[in-house]
Amino acid sequence: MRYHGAMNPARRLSIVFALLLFALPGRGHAYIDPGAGSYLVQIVIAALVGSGFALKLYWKRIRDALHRPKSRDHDAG
Amino acid sequence: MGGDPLRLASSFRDPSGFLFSRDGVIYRQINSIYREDYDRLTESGLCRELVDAGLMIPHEEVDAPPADPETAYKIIRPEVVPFISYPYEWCFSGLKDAALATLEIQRCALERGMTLKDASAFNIQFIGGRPVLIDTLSFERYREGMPWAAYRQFCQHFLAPLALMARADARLGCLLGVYIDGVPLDLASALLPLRSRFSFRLLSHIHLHAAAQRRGAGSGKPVTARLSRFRLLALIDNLRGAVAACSWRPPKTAWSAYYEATTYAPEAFEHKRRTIGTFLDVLAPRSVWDMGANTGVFSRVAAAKGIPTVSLDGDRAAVEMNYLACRKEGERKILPLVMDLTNPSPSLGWAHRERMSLAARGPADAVMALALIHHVAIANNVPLAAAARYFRELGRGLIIEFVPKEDSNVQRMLATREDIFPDYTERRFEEAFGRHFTVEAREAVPGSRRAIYLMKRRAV
Repeated sequence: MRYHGAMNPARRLSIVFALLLFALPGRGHAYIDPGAGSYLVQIVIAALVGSGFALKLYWKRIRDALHRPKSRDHDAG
Repeated sequence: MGGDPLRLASSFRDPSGFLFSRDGVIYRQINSIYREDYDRLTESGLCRELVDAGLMIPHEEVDAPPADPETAYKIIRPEVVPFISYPYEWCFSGLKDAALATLEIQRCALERGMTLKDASAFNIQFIGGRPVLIDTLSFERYREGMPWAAYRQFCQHFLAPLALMARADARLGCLLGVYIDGVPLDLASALLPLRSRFSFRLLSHIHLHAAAQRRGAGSGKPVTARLSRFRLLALIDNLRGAVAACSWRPPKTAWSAYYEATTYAPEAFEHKRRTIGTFLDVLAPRSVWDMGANTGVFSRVAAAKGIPTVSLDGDRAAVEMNYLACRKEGERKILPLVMDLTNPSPSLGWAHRERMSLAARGPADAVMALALIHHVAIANNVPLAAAARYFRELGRGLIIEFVPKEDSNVQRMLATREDIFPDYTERRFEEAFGRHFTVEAREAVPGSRRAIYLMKRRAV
């Protein structure tokens, strides 16, 4: 039975390869090496700065909304 | 149309297409492999948006025969770049503006469902005083969840050299000429001062990034985490902040040189300007290289005549001030570049053919060498004959100022060293340059023993 359950090396390799393909983000026609470490670090940084960026966008929207009537007056004048 | 296509040596990395020239016209072949992305670039409106914003070079699709018919999808003809310059020749603010332009392009691309697949500083050129993306094939379809493949390249080509110039030493900008794919982040991390670790942006994008690269390279494990588009935009915004926070103020010595150049004896200065203007009218050049331009005072004489002028100087501070002044004045004809004439940019990259030497980008129609020859011949010991030979290589016409030994500037140079220059005389100068040029005119500079010459290159 043990013998039966063992996978031949070629099959094992193809499964590992398939798993790798699913795990790796698609690369399109990427011709430069993005670097695994660089992927990881940008994901971490983006997670850290995401909420700050959201606040910044909301603040910008509020500011734009407050300033809009003024600029209309100016245009009209 | 009928000539043989010549593939440009610098265009080989990206399989999406390549540049070639035929009968002196530069074309870009777009390969079938890039068809989907190219169509998306145009159909999404991104191409139009970036061209209208002056961020990307305009091009037109043409019916020219492809250089490689088997792989070709389309042929485009991009607008001509007046002078190719390289990131290691840009001043601090030039590189910073190029970095900000790259991030703005990436932001626009993400909003239209595309992303920059590379962020090489070599894809940016200065046209009309502004940084412009010249590689139309730099985009690919954005897939939700994908991190930015060019993030590392952006940090190496832009953020690391800018941080080094701002926080360690502005001269480190030359590292971009040593490392053709940008400054390695572990090197940047090692060279940056300790206090750079107290900046969250530099700590994360440079120091931790360098550490993550070391780990990532060793582990061999693929990354499975995803990055939403919103977070990717947050990352781009954070990088923009990191670049914007890099600042460098040229040292005071450069300012004093600036005032010296613009305020010495007003009549003599005016006369010199007029003489240069007259000589330029005689040469009627389509391109001028102002060698040793300092802050570009006399480059402006050429620019005012509408002549595209490359303003070269070895002093980073002077070039920085020239660039900032051009930007402030909206001067579109001057391209200020860092170039040490005693050690000009060499040919670099694969087989020495990716990045051109200064001479390979010439000859210019006119070269100006004002108050420069004593720096070359005396400060750098270059024999006048060798100087004349090199100037012949660089320009068809030459406006050159001879500064005699009696001049106070030369006297200062010789004050601390032995005078080993018995041949440095005006007669020997005329002999040396006369072998390669015909002297068309000579004008003495009032109030000094200097003279400005107008020369034309002799036919071989």
